[in-house]
Amino acid sequence: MKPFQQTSKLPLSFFSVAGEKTHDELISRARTAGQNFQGEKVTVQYSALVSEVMENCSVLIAKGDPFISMTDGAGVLSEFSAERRKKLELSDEESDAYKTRLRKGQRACAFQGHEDFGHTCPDFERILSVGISGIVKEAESLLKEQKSVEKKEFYQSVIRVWKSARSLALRMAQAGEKENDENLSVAAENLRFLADNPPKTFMQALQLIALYYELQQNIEDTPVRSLGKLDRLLYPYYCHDMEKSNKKEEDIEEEFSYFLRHIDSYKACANIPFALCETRKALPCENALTLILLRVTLRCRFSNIKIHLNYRADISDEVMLAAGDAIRSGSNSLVFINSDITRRALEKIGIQREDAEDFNIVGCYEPCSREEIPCSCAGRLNFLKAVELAVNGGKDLLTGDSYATDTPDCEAITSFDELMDIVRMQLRAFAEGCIESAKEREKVQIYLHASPLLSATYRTSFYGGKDVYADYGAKYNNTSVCGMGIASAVDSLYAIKELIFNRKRMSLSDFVDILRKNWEGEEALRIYIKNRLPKYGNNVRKVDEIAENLVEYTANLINGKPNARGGVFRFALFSVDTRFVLGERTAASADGRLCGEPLSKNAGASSCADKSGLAAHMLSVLSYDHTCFPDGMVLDATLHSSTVSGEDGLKALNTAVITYLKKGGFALHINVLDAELLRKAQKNPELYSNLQVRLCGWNVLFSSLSRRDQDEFIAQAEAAQ
Amino acid sequence: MTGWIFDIKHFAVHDGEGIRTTVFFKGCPLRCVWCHNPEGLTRKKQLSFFLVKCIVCGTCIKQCPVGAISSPGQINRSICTNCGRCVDVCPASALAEQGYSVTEDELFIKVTEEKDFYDDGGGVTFSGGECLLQAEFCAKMLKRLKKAGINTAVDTCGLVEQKAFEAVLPFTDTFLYDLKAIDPEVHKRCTGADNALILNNLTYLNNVGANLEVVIPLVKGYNLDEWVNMLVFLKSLDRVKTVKLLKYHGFYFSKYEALGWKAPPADMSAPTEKEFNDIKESFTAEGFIVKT
Repeated sequence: MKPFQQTSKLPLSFFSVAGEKTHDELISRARTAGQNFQGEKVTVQYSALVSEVMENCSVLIAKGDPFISMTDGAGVLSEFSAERRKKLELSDEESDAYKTRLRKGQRACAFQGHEDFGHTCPDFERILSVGISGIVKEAESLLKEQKSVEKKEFYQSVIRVWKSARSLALRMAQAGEKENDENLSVAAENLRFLADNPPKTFMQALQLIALYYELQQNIEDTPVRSLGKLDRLLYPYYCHDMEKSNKKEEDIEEEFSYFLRHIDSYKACANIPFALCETRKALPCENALTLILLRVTLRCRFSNIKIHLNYRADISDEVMLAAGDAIRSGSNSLVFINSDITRRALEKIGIQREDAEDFNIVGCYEPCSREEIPCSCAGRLNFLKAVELAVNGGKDLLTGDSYATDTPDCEAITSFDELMDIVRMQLRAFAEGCIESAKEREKVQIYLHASPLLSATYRTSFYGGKDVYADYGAKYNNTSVCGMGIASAVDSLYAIKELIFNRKRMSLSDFVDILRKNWEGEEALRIYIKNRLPKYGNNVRKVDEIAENLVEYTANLINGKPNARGGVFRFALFSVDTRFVLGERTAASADGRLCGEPLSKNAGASSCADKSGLAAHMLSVLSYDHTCFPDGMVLDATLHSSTVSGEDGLKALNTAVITYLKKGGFALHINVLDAELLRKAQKNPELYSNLQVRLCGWNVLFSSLSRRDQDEFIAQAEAAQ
Repeated sequence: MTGWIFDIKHFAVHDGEGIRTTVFFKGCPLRCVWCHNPEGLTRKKQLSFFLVKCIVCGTCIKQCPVGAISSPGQINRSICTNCGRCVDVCPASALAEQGYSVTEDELFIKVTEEKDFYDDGGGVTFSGGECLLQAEFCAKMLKRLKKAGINTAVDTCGLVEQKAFEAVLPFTDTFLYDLKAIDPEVHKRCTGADNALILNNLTYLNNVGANLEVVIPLVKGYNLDEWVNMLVFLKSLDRVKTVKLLKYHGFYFSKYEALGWKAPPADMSAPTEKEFNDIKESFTAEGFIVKT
């Protein structure tokens, strides 16, 4: 194989080979295949469709790439699913009920929701240990034992798609063999081996992971949101190569670099994550591959790859320092995940310890225990809207729509405690609406999607003869509801408490009028609130206790409530990109936010409100119990590279990260800024008023510097790039 | 007993080991031409106005009881009584009061808020201005912090009576000791003061076995050529193992503008990269641990 060089980091140029059909023909054939199985169970239909695509799609390869996994099969199944969904939604009464309830919630902008057939982490350990042919053989053996039609159909479906996967692997091998390319020949040889055997070498294991990713993510349209703990998964193959092939660490680094480039080429929505470090207590946190894979990934800096670094108290300094060093150099691809807190959060919703502690983060920050289908984002709940409705007699300030009934007029609210009761009443109504609409949705979910590929990797599903989606065959079938805009809601409530109930500066109804008019004529008051009143994110107890109250109250409304799939609901605190959508439809708020501006991000402070440093920001977020979030949460903190420069800076960054996690932080992401960002900060200082820079031996707020000083700083930051 | 301070900075990562909370005491015996904290020089309360933050709402004009503000930013400081009313009402925090008193209890609560982050060597640093002008208060606070198991550091310019050091010595883990020049004439030109007491105090701390980190600002046009003298002097002090070299920068002029003061002289500049690295290497070659 040719050495991986710097130029190898350039994007791969893929071209199509070995395909007999155009993409349109592929869709047409799949549709016909689907029609042939009309009336059959969705598992059977899906296997026919997936098989059809695998057998007829074109293979995409790139010169110099030692991996082959891409096809033009993406999008075929999603088109079929969309058609199917449309039919079901129009015909199914339950679906109509769902829509009615959901629309009401959405109209009031109280919550949103949709079904989710993604956010999965297949059991790659099983895939690697038995291989494609192993799964087929096992399924054939189990098929013989079955008497029930349904289970027979399940195993037949599994056999159909996994046999087609074998054919596709061989077609890929052929495609690679036809090209006169040293690296593609490596891929071809490995694929031919993998068609009939589980992997033996490091490269073969990587090739099988890439191939499976394509099959499930793109062809079957069941998004893979984690490649699993790669250090653990790949360790046996690394050992094999080191012992049997006399390989060196540099060879492993090179092979993994090629793999990252290949995976990065997918440009998947919201990146392709993988995890590092063991989460199961009984096993060592790291192995010899951990640091190698971490360093290679951080060095390559592919934009489409992200790492979930599982933190445990016994993690090595070397790993933490390598991570910290990369973060302060501007790498934004790494998130710290607290293994212990995650396990405890999952156990709280009834997941058994051995499954809970073997989790992977699937997507943003959602943990998925072993044998769990978590169904993320089934509900997204708007904290700030609960405050808006509470101060306006239960009515939306923009549309006049109401959601919760029996909300008193604001004139009747005589104390802050009363207001908090009404906010909690709104949240209860939102949560119930969110849960009920999700349950109604779940009742039709079994007709919408199946995953014979994924089902073969889950032991409970595979040995139980049940599809993970169509039969709820996984051991745990849970559903997620995410809370959004917590800091916006908390800052708004504190502003009302201080100005209306403590200082009695005006009546609540007069203040609500100001919000209705989007602060028109009251800019000085708005700026005063934004600048002068304490905010969440600064370790101010009287503010943070409002957050604690709202978050833990809402978590109790969601966590553990039964869903319609035999599982439970789980609560999260992160904002995805929905904070923009919800923000657009949320009126001006008492924290000084203008109508339409985004809600606050994740579990952190409102934009630029964290002015007391990273530790204070962390302490505010730590004011509530993070085991309330079995569906995940994160603090996103922003620092400038000068804050963490030098040995002192790196040490401080690491201490801050470790302290946050030791004190019970669930997940942590740190952004370190660059010159481009400073230019933006100079142009829009109000958006970056918390941005700190290091002048010499200390930090100051960038916005407090004169224009000339800012220019000089930007010039220095550019020079340092 | 109360202390007189102008700022408390949380998550300070360059004021000693680890993550620290730094308290800036008000009042300083030196007048360094490059002083980056001019709001810490005088003991009296001062008013700062930051033009970049002002939203020109005029609230301050209406609130001033003596008519010292004629338009936003136009402050007649000769009649301003520093009553702070304009600061209280300014919505944008464009006006700020420099200087306020804190009790021991208030300060203790404030500096221990982030105690959990002081593991790994972090703690509390007293800086300024010159914190040891309030040595009695500092000693009480440092004693209390030590009792609570918190690492302490004192950042000092050294121009205080030796008894000030004696008062804080038992409760101070590290002294961050500023050194600007050895030649008395150069020192006087840079700081307006003689350096005999500063050098004596540094020698005293060395002789009593204090943990010392010497901080040297390097300002071209003023003290850059003094580095050799400083190196020779520090070599004679067996307790000084670590020096911190700070390169001059001009990112502080806005503070002078905010106080209504004229800007510092324009003949100061940073050493070149080569000059800076040469100095760094010279200290390293003599066995010092050099921080930058």
